[in-house]
Amino acid sequence: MLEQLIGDRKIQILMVFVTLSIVLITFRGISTGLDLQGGSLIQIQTERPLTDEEMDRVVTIMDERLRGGLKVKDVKLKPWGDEFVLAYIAGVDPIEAGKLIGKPGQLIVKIGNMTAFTGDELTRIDPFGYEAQFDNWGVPFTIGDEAAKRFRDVSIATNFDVVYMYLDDIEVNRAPLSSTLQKELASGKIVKSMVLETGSKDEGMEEARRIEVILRSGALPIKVEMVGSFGISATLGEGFKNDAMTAGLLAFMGVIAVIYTRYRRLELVGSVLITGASEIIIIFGVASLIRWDIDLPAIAGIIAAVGTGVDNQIVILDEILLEKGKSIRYRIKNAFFIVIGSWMTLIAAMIPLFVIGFGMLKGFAVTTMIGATAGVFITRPAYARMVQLILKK
Amino acid sequence: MNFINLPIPNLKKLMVIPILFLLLSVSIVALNLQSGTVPLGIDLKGGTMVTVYGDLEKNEIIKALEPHFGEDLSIDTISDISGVAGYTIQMDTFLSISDKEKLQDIIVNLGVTKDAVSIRDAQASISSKTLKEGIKALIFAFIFMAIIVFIRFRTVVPSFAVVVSAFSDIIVTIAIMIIVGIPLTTGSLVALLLLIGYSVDTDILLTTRVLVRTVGSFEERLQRAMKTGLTMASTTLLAVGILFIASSSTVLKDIAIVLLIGLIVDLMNTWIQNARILQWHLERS
Repeated sequence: MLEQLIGDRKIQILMVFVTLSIVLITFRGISTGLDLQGGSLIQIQTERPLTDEEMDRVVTIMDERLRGGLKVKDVKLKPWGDEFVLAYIAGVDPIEAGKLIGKPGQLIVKIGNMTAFTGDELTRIDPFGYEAQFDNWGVPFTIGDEAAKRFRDVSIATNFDVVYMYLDDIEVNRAPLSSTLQKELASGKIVKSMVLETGSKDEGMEEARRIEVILRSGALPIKVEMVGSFGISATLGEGFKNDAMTAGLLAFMGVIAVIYTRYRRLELVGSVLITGASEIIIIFGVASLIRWDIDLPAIAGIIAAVGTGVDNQIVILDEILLEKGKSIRYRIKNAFFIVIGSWMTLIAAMIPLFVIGFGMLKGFAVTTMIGATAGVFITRPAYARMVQLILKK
Repeated sequence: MNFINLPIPNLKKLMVIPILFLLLSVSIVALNLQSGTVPLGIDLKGGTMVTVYGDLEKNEIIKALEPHFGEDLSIDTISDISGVAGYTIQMDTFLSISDKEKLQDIIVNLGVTKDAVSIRDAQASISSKTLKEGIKALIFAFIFMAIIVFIRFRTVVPSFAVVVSAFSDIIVTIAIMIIVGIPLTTGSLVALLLLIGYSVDTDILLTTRVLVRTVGSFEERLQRAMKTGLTMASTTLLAVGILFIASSSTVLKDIAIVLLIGLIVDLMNTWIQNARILQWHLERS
């Protein structure tokens, strides 16, 4: 029988897809969503609906600010409609992240302990650049007349103390006033355009980039507010992952037990097992290919896909066993009328969820659709062939 | 387990049961919608939900939180295979960052690590948008499903019966959720979407077996279809039941409990309501 199995076209197709998936999973890996690896989802609302261009700018600035402010690389921002932005941040708890986004970035520049100017008084921020002459990176910026006067007065009053930059009351930078600037200010001059120097080499460049973002977000033209959040620690995420896998495995074993009770043949149980396992492998393979993060909803989707898959296998099996009197080919054709109808309605039910993608549950739609589609075109045709061969024996 | 020769009373009168359920459910849902008393999770109505895993006493949590966060608290237990896994603490208020930090500190002081605490919160602006989008997804899913059913069967009465059965499944499930007090969350909305798909699966099986096949009498064909359908239902119910018991994640539990209710409701709507509509349709033509 093994030779017949391996020689069959549909089973070969299944084997090719399973092998490809295993290769993909092994070499490309599977990334997990933040509810399994720990992190935060922050939901941000803008003060009014934005145009695409404005939304783009807000997303870019916030992205930079989150990366810089939280010192994490794994930040993903997605606009949701025209007035919401969803920020997925790995490895940071939402309270910490919320401190940065919750309020509009309030930038205060102090000399010593006296306020010189605030973010609203910045009239212009230029892109950060490199000054070859001094081997220094820096961010040029300009402040208004009032602010410049205050800057001069405060520098003199503090006897040219260190300049501190605070973002939302957190110190983000400190730098001394250069001697040239000190001389100019001491003579009573108003200086509106300055450069904040950040040092040389890569660190200097990184810092300059960060400072530019901080200056810009302090002056973010559109107010944003944190309107929702969800956070999970890495420990809990790990626990959920193990739990979900145990639950999935137990559920699968339960299903196998029911199948055995009903059909009493180990080969039939084996074919259901092989089909289910292949579907799981192919779902993970496709998820790896399209780099879809596997999160809890995605795992629920896998369980749902495999569950409806088993249901379809029962339909195929019963069609062959119960609807006697017609040829086996005809009965399988009939079974596939039901199977394809079930696939089409499942896709129909999941497409709105995929398109709207509400909450964090888009992953559910994605894995269910991958699983159901792989089921109809790859695993179930192979399953039908396996069953045919088993029953012929 | 033995599904063979299940007695099926040859009575179209059985139709009364699902119809009564449907009418009752429609009124329950309508009344609760009107009075705004459909229970919603905080992701759909706004507020704060803290999930804490670990070995704590419900009373000590209440005692610690009440002085700061008032009477607005509701605490539920999360269980998994090993017993009490943790608690969810819900309140209708959206807390400021500093209040949220305070809340977290109080819970951590009860003797768990910060890692064991998970906070989810939402303001009314985003939760109402989520709810609207969720309902939109549900309505569109239903419409798409109906179109596919009509294209698939090309006959009015059987297609209509499938669509009505799916509608009943959803409405009766929501009504039971309201009565039992299971809140509608993003997770349970997704379960309702999946229920549309599942509901139609069993109906397509029934319709195909009863209408397309000609071997045997109506009752014989129905019995064979039911044998397959009940095997499907028992595997799915078992799987979903295990998922509900074994998982500690509230998202998975939300999905599982609604599916569990919906699958049981679907048994009635497929094997009584839809089956008897088909019988009536066959006898008429």
